[in-house]
This record gives sequence, structure tokens and C-alpha cells, in this order.
Amino acid sequence: MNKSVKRMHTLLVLAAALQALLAAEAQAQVRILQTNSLDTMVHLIDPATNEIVAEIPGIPVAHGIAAAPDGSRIYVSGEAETALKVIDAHTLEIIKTIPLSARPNNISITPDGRKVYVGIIASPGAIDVIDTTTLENVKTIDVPGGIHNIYVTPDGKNVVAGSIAGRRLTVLDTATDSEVWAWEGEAIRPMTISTKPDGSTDKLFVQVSGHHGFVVLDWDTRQEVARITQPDVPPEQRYDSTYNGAPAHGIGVAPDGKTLWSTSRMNSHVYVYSLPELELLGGIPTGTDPDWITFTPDSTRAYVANAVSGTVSVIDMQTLREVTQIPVGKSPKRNGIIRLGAH
Amino acid sequence: MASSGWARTRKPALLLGLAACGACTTTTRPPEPAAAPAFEAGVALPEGPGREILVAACLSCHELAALALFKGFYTRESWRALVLTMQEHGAPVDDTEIEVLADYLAQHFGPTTP
Repeated sequence: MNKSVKRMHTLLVLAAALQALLAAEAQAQVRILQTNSLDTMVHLIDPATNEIVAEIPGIPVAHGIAAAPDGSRIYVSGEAETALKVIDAHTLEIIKTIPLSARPNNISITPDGRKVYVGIIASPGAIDVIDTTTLENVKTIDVPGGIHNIYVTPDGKNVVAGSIAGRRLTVLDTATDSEVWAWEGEAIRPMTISTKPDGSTDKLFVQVSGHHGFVVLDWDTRQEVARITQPDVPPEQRYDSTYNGAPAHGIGVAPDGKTLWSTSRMNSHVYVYSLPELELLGGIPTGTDPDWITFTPDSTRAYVANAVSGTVSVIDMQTLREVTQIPVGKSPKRNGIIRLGAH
Repeated sequence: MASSGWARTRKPALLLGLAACGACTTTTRPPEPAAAPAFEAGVALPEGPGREILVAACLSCHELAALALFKGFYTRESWRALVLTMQEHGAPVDDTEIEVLADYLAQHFGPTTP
């Protein structure tokens, strides 16, 4: 090996080491946020160690959770208090309790961090809008049917809200907070969104009551274009439950946009599909009653909340294997991530 | 429209609402060793009108622990609204039972309950 080749080799090794260091550093700034629906505690997990590194106490029946994009705050909807709790992400203290119009379910924050949308499940249904600058509940939008889950699209232009009782998916324009279209006829459960190369919304993947899988809605045509049923397992391997009517209840698109992950309460599995082809890549056993799922930003790890096990399954997204299960609180459900120190 | 065989053969007794979306944690399996509950409810259901309705309509899908977490927060009006929402989600309660249940929940799990 001559001198220049040796130098090149050394440079490549150094570059790889630097890349690994930066990746580890980036990972170290991320925390997995895990709510526990039959508890008063929210847990923060460090994905570098897969250990609980902090807790936020004092939120009975926490439902939705979202982090400010700049990493400064965490927002949690509390069903018991009928309020949105605002938490300082550095001190983990609750800095404000914002009253809501009625009992909430899930929440979502705009990409610029300026508004939090809160789904109001209490009949007749509504969406509360929280101004994060003033920390005030500034608007209640009437929608048909109690809102269970709610999502701001990645481009920030729309809000997608799902109702079980209303059997309706409602889409709002975030500029006007008014309805632009709706899809009706199914009891809407968790959803996730894929994007086009320009960042605009491409597809909605919607779990619905009584279906072990998900529906694919095309954003532009507003039509159902596919209905995927997840694999079966032998009846004796199924988790015996009513699943509250939702045998599949947790779904997410990986941050790199290459895969779609959908949990199965019935099978205690999470299933992985390629995007955009929707070919089944595999199924991974989890704890019992897997619900919500979230991912590290680098798409290397998935975190699945197992409601009955009281654990979070950590999945290696390359090998499609469970790495470990982390014991958390009682009935863990909604989860998400925060990038600490992002601002 | 395709749907799973499960959807055709099973009817959920009570859908959603209390203690979050689909917190149906009723299980016929023994507790798993991995489970690490951070909260034990220790809830007793007092006798009285409404108790049997609650057991029949709510506990088939929801854990008693949820009541302990809600205890002290909801007025009768709030409890009634919750039960109404549950009825919309399929809870098997009629209009009379809603009022009885709201009274029971307010009396035993309302803000002034010791």
C-alpha cells in the first residue's frame, strides 16, 4: 500500500468514526415520550441506552402527547382534568394547565410549533386550538362526532381528525381552521401520513374499527385506493380480547418514508410494509396488546407501547427484531419523541 | 369492501372512551412477568343503584383502575357527558340507566367524595 492510499484509508476511517460519533450524539438528544393511560406518570426513555431517564408525574389519565419542534416544551392532554398540561422540557415541571372545552383525547402540534390541536372526544365533538405563544385555548371548532385522534400533516397545511362515533374523518385547513373535506362511513382509529418528495401529503393510512389492518386514502382524489388486511396467526396464539373494537390500533410511517408499521392487538405483533408498494416485509412479535408506535429520527429503532404488558418493545428497524422490552407504567398507549436542545 | 372475519363474528360490548381510546385491557391470560404496574387502584365499588350497570356496561372493556384516576375530578354533569359519549360508542346503556349511572358516579367518584 503506497503512501497516498494509506492516507486515503486513514481519512475514510476517521470520516466513518466522525459519522458514528455524530449519529450517537444526535441519538443522545432524542427522548422517547411514553404516556401511561392508567397511571399518573409520563416516562422519558433514552434511545441510546433504552432506559427510563426521567418521569413527569401528576397527569392522571394522560392521553395525547406532543413535543414542541424546538424541544422546549411537552404538551399532554389529561382526560381526568379536562386540560392540556404544558411541561418545560428542561425542568420537566408543569408550567401551565390549560382548561379544555370538554374531555380530550389525542393532540397534535403544527411544524412551526405555534398551535396545538386537541381532539375533544366528548359528545357532540370538537377540536380545541391552543395558541402556544399565549398558552391560551383560543378556539373551539365544532365537528360532527367526538374526535379520537388528530394529526397535523407534515407540511403543516391541514389537520386530519378522526371520529369513532361520527364514523367520519374530517380535514381542516390550518390557515382558516375550517373544514375542507371529509371521508365518511368508517369508525376512525389511529392514522399516519406519507408525503410526496416535495413534502406535501400523499396518502393517509387509516385504521378503522373491526378491521385487522388499515385503509389507504389518496390525498388528492380523497378516495380509498387500498384496504390491507394484516396476516392471521392460529387462533390459539391470539390475544383473547374484544380489542375495544379495534384489532389494529397503532400505525406510523418511518421518518425516512420507506416503511409503514402497523400494530396488531389481536396477534401481539407489529407488521412492516414497504412504501410505496405496501409489500409485507415482516411481522415482529411484541408484548401483549401492542398499540401506538414511534421512531427514532434516524429510522433505526421503533418503540411500540404494549398496553397489557406494561412495557415498550424496542425494535431494530433493519433486522426487524425486538431488541428489548422496557417496563413502564400501567396501560402505556400514545407515544412520541422530543429532540432536546433543538432550539 | 373487504373486512376481517373478526369483524363479522365478534361484537364489542363497549367501545372506547373511558381511560382512553380502546383501553380494553380485559384479559383471560395470567399477568405477565414483564408487567410493571406503577399504580394499583385499590378501588372498591360501593353498593348502590348504578353499581350493577357499571359492572355490566363498563367493566367488560375497561379497568376499575380508571375510576380511581378520575375520582375527584368530574361533577355529575361531567360523568353524565362521559356516559353519553360511551353510549354513542356502543355502551349498552339506555337513557334511564345513563341517569342512574351518572348519579352513582357523581356520588362515589365526584369532587366531594372523601
